[in-house]
Amino acid sequence: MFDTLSDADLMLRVQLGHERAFEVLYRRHYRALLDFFFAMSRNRQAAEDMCHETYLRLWRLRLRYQPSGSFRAYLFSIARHIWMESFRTTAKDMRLGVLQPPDEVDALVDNTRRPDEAASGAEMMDAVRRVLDELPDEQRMAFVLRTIQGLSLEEVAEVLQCPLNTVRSRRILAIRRLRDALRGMFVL
Amino acid sequence: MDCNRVKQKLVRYMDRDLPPRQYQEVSEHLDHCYICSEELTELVAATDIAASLLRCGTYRNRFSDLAATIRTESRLERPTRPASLFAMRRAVMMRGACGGLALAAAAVIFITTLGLPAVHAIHSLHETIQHEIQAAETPVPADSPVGNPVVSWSGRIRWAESLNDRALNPVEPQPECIEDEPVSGGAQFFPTFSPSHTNVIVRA
Repeated sequence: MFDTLSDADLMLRVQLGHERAFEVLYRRHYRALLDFFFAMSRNRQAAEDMCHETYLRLWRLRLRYQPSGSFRAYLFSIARHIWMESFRTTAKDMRLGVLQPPDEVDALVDNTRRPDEAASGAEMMDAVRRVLDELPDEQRMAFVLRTIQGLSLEEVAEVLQCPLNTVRSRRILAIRRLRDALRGMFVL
Repeated sequence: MDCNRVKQKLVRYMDRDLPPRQYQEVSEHLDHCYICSEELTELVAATDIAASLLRCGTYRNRFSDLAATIRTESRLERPTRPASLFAMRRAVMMRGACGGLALAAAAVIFITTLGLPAVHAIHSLHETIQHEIQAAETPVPADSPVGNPVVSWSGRIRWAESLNDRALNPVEPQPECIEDEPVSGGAQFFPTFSPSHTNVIVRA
């Protein structure tokens, strides 16, 4: 019964304490959230933890939800705040020497692929990672939210709390830099 | 549309974010321009490759962990009120507090601007009345000259009564000349009397 309801209707039931409605919301958007955090952090464990924290905060703040805009934009707004908090904490810990950079290669290499495919995939990932690391956070988010999560430009603007044209320009800059980094690494 | 303008619009073309007329113009340009088509292909490929590499592979469902955490928190937390009702009650309390502060401030201002001067005026009036009463108790010296401003109230009252008696019971004029009563200051001594009374002079 809950599977056919819209996100807003499910959220209204969550406000009443329906755990089943919350589970449907969880399953419906968990993959997109996980991809977002993975794209930003390139660490699977960290991505899962941040997904868990996002849904936990969604539950704790369920009474504040207003069904006026897109639920996905609302959910990714929470995710953005979680990422910003995590980024500040992680950067501080790395600066203090408490935390070491995660082993990203092990988290990304797929053991089912052939070695040559894995190597080229790792090279491309390195190139993409370098470009994404150099991007400002907001440009990176604009690219990830639109390209990977499939949010509309209006939803991305709502998540990033900036004008629509700003989202467009950030996305254009990010894609052109990716294109310049990957140019020559593959034959089109 | 020239190539420079088309290249600037390629990402929006890729997102289908262009107005219909511009989208049509870019499509027509790409049909016959190899360079711009190549540019578009590179942009699309870079985007797709980045997207595929940045997606997380397999993942495990952790809803059971999340549900356990939520149930634990629900057992620990107190019953929550709807945010709107709580916000209403908080707003009412804030308004009440602000209203009380405003009343207190108004009371302080009233006391300092009107109350204290009023109290001072009442005190001064009381002192004046006490002074007059004391003066009324003091007898008029017998040798005090006529017109002495230090005429007691009792003296003034006797003079007024004498005037009244004379008006009711006129007497024959006396051969002596009676000194004029100082009536120029009558209004001063009898502020409540009418001017006609203060001008009564008994003459011989």
